[in-house]
Amino acid sequence: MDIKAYISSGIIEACLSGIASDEDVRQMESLSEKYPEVKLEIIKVQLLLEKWATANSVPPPPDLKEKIWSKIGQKDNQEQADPLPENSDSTNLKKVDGKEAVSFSRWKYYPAAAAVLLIGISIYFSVTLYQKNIEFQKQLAKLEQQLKANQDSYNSKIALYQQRLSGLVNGNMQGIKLSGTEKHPNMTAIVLWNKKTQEVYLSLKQLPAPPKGMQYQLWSIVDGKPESAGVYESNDTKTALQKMKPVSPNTQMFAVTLEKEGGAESPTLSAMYVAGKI
Amino acid sequence: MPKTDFEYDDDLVEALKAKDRNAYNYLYDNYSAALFGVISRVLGNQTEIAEDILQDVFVKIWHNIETYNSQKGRLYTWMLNIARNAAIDTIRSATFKQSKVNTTIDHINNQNTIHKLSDNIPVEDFGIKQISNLLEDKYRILIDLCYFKGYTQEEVAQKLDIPVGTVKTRLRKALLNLKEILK
Repeated sequence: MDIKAYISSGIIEACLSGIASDEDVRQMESLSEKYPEVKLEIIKVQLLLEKWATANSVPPPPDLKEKIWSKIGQKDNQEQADPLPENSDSTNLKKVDGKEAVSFSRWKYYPAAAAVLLIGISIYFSVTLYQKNIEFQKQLAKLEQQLKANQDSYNSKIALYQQRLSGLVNGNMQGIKLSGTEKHPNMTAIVLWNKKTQEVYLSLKQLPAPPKGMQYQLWSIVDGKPESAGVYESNDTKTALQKMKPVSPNTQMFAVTLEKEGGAESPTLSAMYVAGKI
Repeated sequence: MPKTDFEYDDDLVEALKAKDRNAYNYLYDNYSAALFGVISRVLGNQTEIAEDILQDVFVKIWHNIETYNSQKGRLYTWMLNIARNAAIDTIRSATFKQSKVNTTIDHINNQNTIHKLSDNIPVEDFGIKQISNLLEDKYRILIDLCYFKGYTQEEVAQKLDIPVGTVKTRLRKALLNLKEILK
């Protein structure tokens, strides 16, 4: 197709001023998609006609704007607007017959109402599901956080135990057996002591769990003078091995007494359970 | 044309589709005079009817802005087409013809028809006298017939007693002339 000849034929102007046939308009539209020159020419003519309309402006009476707004308000209360054809770019004048005014009968609204209802229901479920989903995600995040915290605490415990274990198997670690006193002849306890690092561990495996409000306390004795090496914190005497306070390298004896919670300044000798010389 | 808070057509169209009242006020302030000019020109001196049509046009724009597709054409052109179609539909409707018998002028000689038609247009009312006077008569009349009467190519050819093919080429020349004048 000779596009130059097409453009200079005036057919575009004819289409845009509304005198061309529908067929011509359709052809112009399809050509405008293929040929940018045609599209450009269409826009040029439209701009010219717009400019011309602007030049021919006639100001409407000042109260018209308000009338339009009130008309729009009224129409909004009614259900439907006159349908306008989709803008088909060009200007072909639709030969609209006034008699073909659209009359809506009531039944036409039922499918619409059903559709609206369905949409409503589907929106309701979507929203509910969405909210539930958010709730689940929050819970999941919480659990993950807890899990992570637990893991961290386990990891640090493991690290601590590994450190202790390496301390325990160290060649400088000395084991001291504490034997039961006269009142508790069958009881024993074990102290692990590293003189160099001053680390002291206490195991009370064979002692009964302390009564409420009481705690076992470890003492180191140097020249007959007791010094506290701290209280045994755990109620569980069976499995735990607790690290105690460092003691004097000159310690000659260890002893365990049962004291009030928090420990005592000096040992209650009548409540001594086990003791052992080094 | 007054300057704009809507720098781009796209922003304006988006606001119009969102039923933003400011956008419609803007549209009215900027385009109502041009649309009213077109409607008045189609209707001749039927001012009251022209006012009704302009109202209908804006109501239509309000309710049908969803169907406007910027890919398919400019907003201004779209509105001009709505205004022109509404006005032409009105002069074609039966009630209007009854009140304006003179509009149909089938049995008069073509030249007379043209004069009649252009007589119906009170040019001085439109503030376009200067523009129209600058345009050669045969071009001015041709543009009026094509753009404001809703005729087909064949009808225009018949009115002017020229070959159908000539209508298009002359229309192109007319618009090229108009372009020079509007520069």
